[in-house]
Amino acid sequence: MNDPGIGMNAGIDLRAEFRQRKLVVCVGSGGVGKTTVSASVALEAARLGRRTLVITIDPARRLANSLGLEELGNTETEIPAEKWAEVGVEPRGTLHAMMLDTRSTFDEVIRRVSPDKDTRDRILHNRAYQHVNNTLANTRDYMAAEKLYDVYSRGDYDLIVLDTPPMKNAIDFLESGSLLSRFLDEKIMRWFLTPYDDKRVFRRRVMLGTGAIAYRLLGSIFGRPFLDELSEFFLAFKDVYKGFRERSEAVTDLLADAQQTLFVIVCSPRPTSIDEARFFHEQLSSRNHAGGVFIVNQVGRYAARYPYHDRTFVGEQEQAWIRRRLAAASATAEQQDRLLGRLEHNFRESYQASLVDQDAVEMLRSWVGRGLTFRVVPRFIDEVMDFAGLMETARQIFAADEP
Amino acid sequence: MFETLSHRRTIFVTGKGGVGKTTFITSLGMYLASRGRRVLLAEVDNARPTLGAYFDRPIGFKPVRVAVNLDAVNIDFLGSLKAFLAEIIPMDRLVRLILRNRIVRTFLLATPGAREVTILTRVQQLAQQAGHRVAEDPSPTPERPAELERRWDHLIIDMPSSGHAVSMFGTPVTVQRLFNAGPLRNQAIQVLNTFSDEEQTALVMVSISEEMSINETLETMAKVRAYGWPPLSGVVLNRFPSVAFDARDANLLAALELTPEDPAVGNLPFVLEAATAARIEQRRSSLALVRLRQELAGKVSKLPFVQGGPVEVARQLAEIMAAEAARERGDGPADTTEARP
Repeated sequence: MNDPGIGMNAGIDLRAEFRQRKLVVCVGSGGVGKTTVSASVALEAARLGRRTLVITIDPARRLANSLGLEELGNTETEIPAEKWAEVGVEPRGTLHAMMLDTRSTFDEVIRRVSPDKDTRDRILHNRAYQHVNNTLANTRDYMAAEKLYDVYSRGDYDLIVLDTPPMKNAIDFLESGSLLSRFLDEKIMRWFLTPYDDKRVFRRRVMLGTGAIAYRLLGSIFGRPFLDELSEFFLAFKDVYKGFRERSEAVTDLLADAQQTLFVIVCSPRPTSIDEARFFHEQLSSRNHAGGVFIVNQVGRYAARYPYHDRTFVGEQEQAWIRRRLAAASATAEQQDRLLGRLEHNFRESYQASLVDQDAVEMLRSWVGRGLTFRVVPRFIDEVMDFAGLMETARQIFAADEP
Repeated sequence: MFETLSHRRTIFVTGKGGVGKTTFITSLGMYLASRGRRVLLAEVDNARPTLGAYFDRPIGFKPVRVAVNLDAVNIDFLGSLKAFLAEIIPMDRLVRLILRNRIVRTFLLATPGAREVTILTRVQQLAQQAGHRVAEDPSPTPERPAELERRWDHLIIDMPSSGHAVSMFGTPVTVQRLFNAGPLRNQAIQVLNTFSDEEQTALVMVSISEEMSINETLETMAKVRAYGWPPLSGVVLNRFPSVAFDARDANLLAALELTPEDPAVGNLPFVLEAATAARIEQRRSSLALVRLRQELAGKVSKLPFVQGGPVEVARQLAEIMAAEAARERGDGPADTTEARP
């Protein structure tokens, strides 16, 4: 019983779930080890023979280092063979990693969908575009989806694992594409472009009623110069709109395809995190996404292995052994008592914290019910910060599966 | 630090996700309320408000009483937007009509900065009701500021986690660059002028001892400062472990290392493993504390790890804050809980 989590894991073969998919999207709130879990499952897939890419969002330099890279950039970099050699593993597949840079991804999209250099430059240099790129809520989520689609359609990988930006709302990510394309909706664009159109008839019709009030209102809130600049942006964007829209729809379709895409909900045993995981799952199911895997990370190590509430924490046998050792190191009886007291106290506290975690895990498990994959990963003694740590995390995640 | 905070009108709190921000603002509110201050706790732009769970009741856009001297509110975007438009268009019916217009809705939902500025404007309105002196309206024909009834002594704001909070703090500057005129720009200027006042505004970050969390804290601090907000009033190092083993124990623990030849003795491996884990955590926390103190001398407070449900934890932390504030004023016992690395 060396695996603290193994007693809590059973049933469905998680490796098989991963084998059948081309995309794995890890969602979850911040601070639950989502990036570590993403890297670990990618590592396992590579070990078993798939050409794998992990895309992370956080500029986690340490993760890059643990993968043997100086830093992660916006391009895919292969994990060097030495890293695998360090842990004595010969991967049957390959592992690449990259970090998502929202800004340059958006620029890339514009370059790709622009019909000519002139259109491209007009968009890239437009002030409204620059601010949309920098600050528009959901841009980050959408660009993650966009990058995913980009590498997916190139077909260089068998499996892509995406570590999504931390979010309060899984839907933000799923709907980022449609929100952005709604903003860039043709009708809305046309509405802004009418001052530039020849068809004055159309413009007059729009400018009547609440439309007119709305335009005046927006003008007074944002200032006319901004509206003019925005109109210019839309004018330039008109030519790339179709390409943009198609891509955005393709991304949405891909994420909704349960045959290809698997959502992994990562959480910790903290009550707020569990609550959010449930909320994510509800959101995913209500949209028929395959939100089929829960991974509860950072679970206390002792409850599952040592399920005896009424036992002495450090029993007579253990005490005798400890005293013998301490005496051999010439510790006085007083020193022995003191250390024994501290060991007892510390273990009791750790055990009780684990019990709290276990209760939370069991509550989530019964809520989740059967038919969904549920995995528990123990809290590590130290922060996971190297390749061996990622390897060990993977081992824990897949511990209940057939090798 | 907690004594200092009791002299600020508006206290913004942020931190990496999952570090205990909401529990912290709840306990800070409880502490100030226990000193007889009237406090408003505000959750900001949260798709899934969590503050209500601490008081067992839903919390909406209108402040509600949750305990003695303690009120709570949820500042969401749509509510803020309605309040914002109501200032520009003094006709309820027209506001509703305009918000039903698809184009306007889409525009307001997606235009950079609109979301953040309307929310910050609402924060400013509530701050004013907590006695915060609001800066002058920079518009060409400023309207006389509405006289708002003073309802609280402090406003404590649970900002989104640091990534999102940074973009919200940055919006007033961005909006000034982006828009040449209009109420949105004017509001952005006013909001920044109001909250850049160090005498009235406090900025607190909550962190835990993990390296990622400390990094994010220091990065956020620098960015927010560059956006024209006041310097950090303090960092709270949360869930700080109690001293399980000291240097003397460490020497003796070395004698207890298990070798493969040792026979299996009960649950000895777990007991020793837990001791190792505790020592690693202790060392990490001490290093985190040292690192933060190097950057922010005198502005770092640690709060202990407390076992229990969120409400119970908040209550206990409030008592600790009260004790530390008393020490800051010089009328309490000296801090004896200091961990030595």
